[in-house]
Amino acid sequence: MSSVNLGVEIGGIRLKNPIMPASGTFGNGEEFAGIQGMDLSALGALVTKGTTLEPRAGNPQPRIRETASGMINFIGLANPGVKAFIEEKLPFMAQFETPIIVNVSGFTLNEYVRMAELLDQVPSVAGLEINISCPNVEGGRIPFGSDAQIAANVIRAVRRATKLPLIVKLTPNVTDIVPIAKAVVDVGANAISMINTVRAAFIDRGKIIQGGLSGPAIKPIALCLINQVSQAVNVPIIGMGGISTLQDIFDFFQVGASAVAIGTANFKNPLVMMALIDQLEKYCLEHGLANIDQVKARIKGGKG
Amino acid sequence: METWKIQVGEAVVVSNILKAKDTWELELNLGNDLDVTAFLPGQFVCLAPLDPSSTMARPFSIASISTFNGTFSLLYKVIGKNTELMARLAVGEKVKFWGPLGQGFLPNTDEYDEVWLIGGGIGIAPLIFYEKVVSEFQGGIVRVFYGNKTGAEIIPLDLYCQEPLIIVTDDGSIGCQGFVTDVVQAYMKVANEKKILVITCGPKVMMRKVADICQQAGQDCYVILETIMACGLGVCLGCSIKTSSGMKRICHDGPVFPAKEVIWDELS
Repeated sequence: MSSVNLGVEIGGIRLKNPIMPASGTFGNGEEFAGIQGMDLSALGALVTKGTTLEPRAGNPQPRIRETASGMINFIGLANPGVKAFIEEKLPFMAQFETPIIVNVSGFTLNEYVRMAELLDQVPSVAGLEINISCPNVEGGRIPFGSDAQIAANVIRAVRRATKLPLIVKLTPNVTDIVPIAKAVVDVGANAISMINTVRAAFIDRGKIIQGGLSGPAIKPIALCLINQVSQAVNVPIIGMGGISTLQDIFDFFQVGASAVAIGTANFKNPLVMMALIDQLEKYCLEHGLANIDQVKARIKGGKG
Repeated sequence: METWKIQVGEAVVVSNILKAKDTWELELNLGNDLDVTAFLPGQFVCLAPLDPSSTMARPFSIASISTFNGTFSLLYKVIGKNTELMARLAVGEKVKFWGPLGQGFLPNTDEYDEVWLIGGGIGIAPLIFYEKVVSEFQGGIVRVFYGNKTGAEIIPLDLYCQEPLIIVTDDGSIGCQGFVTDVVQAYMKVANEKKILVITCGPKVMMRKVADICQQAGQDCYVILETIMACGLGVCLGCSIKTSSGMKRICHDGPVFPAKEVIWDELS
């Protein structure tokens, strides 16, 4: 055993290291578990595919397009629904002794509440990541997360429905993200995850497809917004947006993230999270750092 | 739990040869830690993109394996930045790969009098693997139909089956002139009572026509679908399509599908 402790605490969830998959880039773990060299018990957390109250088939083709240093997805939250998720997907994930964070997406306030109530009863769930980037079908299809009051209404209601740690995933597609972050923290969010994908479009044979942009292209946007939010709220932030290297992780630490999620980078290297955990530990050993706080102190001193 | 294991590693370039216009064959060695004997026809591998500004995996059908040498080969057509960079790979260079991916499909050839492998363009790649495997097992006739735009794009094939290769080009510069589907149609007309298994890979319009011909003739047809993928692993859901038996991921549930399950208008 090494003397390095990479552990972090996010809203009451103890993680053995600060590295986890971003929702939607890891399925529900089964496929990655079949990859040689992948160890799900080595990850900081398992973050599920976006889950909704009812099953969703998702969008028609085309669903993805590569862009310069990024990709646009138009998947449409395809998932089997929360009940099938709990019965068929969760037991597999629960065998790794890695905290499970369930990504919860809703299209009405009541859907979020119903899902929180159902998941609250499941012992293997460590926390909920509340995706408030979905359109509010009872509110002119304006995303919940684009208005501080509406976002707070969702989180307040979910807070009443469960004692589980709540991580609120913020959308970057807003004029000012700070009041939204403050509003959800005021009503009980235990942590923030950011950023969700950046609204973007591609053209497919004359058809305009609107989706979400991810990958290295959005890293500077994520850094900027996390920097703003980390100065305004006092809950931990899980940073995400184009991370693929150890230096990227350090940059997210620098702007105030306490942990990081790896998303699009899993697609061009399925073992990237394993490599980053290994590199982070080696970095600590090399520089005589005992924990993540010491890593952050070193980075903030201008040493990468 | 999945019973199969996806191997990940650095594969070493054994050869990288121009086989026809813009069409290359890349042979990769997996070294001692990895094992090509697990590779089945119809499966594919992903290569990490060579262009640093690319974000998505690059899927390629497995065209052949050599268990003796521990190598496998794939065919690719130069169509963009990444395949341009692939064409510059030199012997000894390494590429990151993961696979085998998808469900391999091994037909029960005993049930059939003939097996027809119908490839269009670069879609011939997985059928080369099929041709070898089916020729080893099949007592009956194996026929390969290979269509392309011009003769310059036709790659030379070393086949194991007894029947002569049937080449069709749009301009007639090699083989028959016309569409490969016209030739398949003509063969099907005289097939009479024979029970035929058809496996096809190529442009969507070609596979759709082959599927139609088979349906009308009451013959079994499997299609190998190709699409853009982000992960190749079944997690991103970027290649999911609606089929007559529900939503399917081309990468994980396919890429080989019974033609009757495919809803052609759902493909991009």
